[in-house]
Amino acid sequence: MISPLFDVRDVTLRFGGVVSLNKVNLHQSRGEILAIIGPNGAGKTSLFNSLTGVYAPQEGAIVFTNSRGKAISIIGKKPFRVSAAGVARTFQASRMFNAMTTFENVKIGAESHRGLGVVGAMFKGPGTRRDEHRSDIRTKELLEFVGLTQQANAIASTLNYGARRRLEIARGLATAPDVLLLDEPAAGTNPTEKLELVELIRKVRDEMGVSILLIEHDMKLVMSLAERLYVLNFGSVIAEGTPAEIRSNPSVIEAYLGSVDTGVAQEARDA
Amino acid sequence: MSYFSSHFTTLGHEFWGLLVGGIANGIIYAMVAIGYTMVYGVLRLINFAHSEIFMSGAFASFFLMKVLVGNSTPNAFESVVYLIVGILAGGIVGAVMAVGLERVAYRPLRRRHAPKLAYLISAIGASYFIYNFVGKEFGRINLSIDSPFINNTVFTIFGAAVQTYYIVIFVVGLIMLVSLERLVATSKLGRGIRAVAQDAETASLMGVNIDRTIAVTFMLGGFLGGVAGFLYSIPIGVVYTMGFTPALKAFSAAVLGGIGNLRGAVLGGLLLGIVESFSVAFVNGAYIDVVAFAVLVLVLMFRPTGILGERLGRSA
Repeated sequence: MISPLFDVRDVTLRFGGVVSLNKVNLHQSRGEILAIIGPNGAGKTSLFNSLTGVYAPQEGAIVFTNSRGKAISIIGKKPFRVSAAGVARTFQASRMFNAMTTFENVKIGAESHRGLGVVGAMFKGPGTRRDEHRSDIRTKELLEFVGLTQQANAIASTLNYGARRRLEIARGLATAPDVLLLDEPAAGTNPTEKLELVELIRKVRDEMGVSILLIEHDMKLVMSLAERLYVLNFGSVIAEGTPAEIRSNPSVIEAYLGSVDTGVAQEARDA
Repeated sequence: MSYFSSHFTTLGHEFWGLLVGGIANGIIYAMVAIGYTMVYGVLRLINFAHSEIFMSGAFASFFLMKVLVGNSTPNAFESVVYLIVGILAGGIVGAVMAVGLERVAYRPLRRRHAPKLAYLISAIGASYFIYNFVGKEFGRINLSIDSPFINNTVFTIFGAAVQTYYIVIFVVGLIMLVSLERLVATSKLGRGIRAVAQDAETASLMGVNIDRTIAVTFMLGGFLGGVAGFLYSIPIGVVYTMGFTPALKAFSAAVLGGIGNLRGAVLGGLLLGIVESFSVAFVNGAYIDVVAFAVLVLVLMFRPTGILGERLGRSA
């Protein structure tokens, strides 16, 4: 049986008079690798921000169902609560804590859901030490999973693009989420790194059971990775379907041809 | 020729004495500067009401000392107990004031995404309110504190007397500054503070509770500020306006060392304390404040981001 993960119904998000999302409907099942594509300014990142509690849409409903089958309404929740509910995300532009080590970057996520530890920070009791130990183990596992064990003690700002992308994914996984939202995970990577990323993202789903929702401009990557796609244009969903269906959908081709991004449309058909 | 040579002779005679006094003052500045720098680190704003946190801590411990010490001459054991009580009272009242201030004067503005200027006005308003309230309640006169210990000369270093008061400042100050540095560098709480300082939005998306982290940052800075108020008031007593000048200097110290930088705040505080102390050998004591701010201006002319530069994240 297919169990639901995200259920987005008639979501409208406005900034003053500008409609950023217009009655968006989206459904994702648990375990699915889903992609959102669309020209620049189509509302993809706004949708991500709405799903993670950064923006609160004025209309509609966003229901997230966690691994215990509990339905949680996202709209109006603060980002750290959405994160605690099981939704993690990475950023388009890498948003690491640049002054910290790779290890610390991941550890923050691994330990964040057990309170702030004000008392523990001052008096390092056995409970605090056990928590620290647990977070350390989890962090090590994640770094190994994404292949960054060697760079654990490197300052994050010294990592190359491919490694940064991996670190972003490890950080996303650190909070033990049900779903990982990836905002252009392949931006700035070279073709080899791209292939490795596709593999890593599949591995995240297959071995950790974490569902994937991604935004990506690289058509080749999207078409080979996603099982289903939604196409956004001017804040509205204009198409939905499998990669094969999307490739032959006339309104998608028009949306891309109508925009400056003709190269993307070409790629979409070729891919 | 004679002007400088005679003053250098004074400096030579009193070098160690001035150094010890300067370091003691510097530690107090550093403890207050930490409060400015940590809040700046997470919120990018200067908490100009921090002077009142310092003053409140001093007042709280003053009233406790009045009750505890009374007219008695405390023995060594009693002195230690009184000091611990004074430190806790100053620190806790400072922390509560700081958290309360954040709640009342800053958080509502943060909720409404107010411009930075609004925080400044809010801080000045809160500061005026608090010190005038204290002035009205406890009188606008200097109240002297009953010393919780006898200020003996404990030992001499190259002929300079080191008194109990200085020892207390060194011990208390060093314990607190080192503990705070360790806490920020190695604990989960510290990682949270550094994460919020570097990128609050990302930290939140990774599950860090921003409001709580900010409140705790105020709490830690308030605790140190309150204890500093207590230590500062021991020889000179308390008065409702006592926070203004030391806090302004501590703020300068934080900027001098690199605002947002923990070690910078300590370095700036110590430097300012020592420069002030040595300036006494060269100019009239009345010029101390002039010298302090002249040094600030000079350093900032050559290093606008302070000696160690910005960033709470990097420093820790």
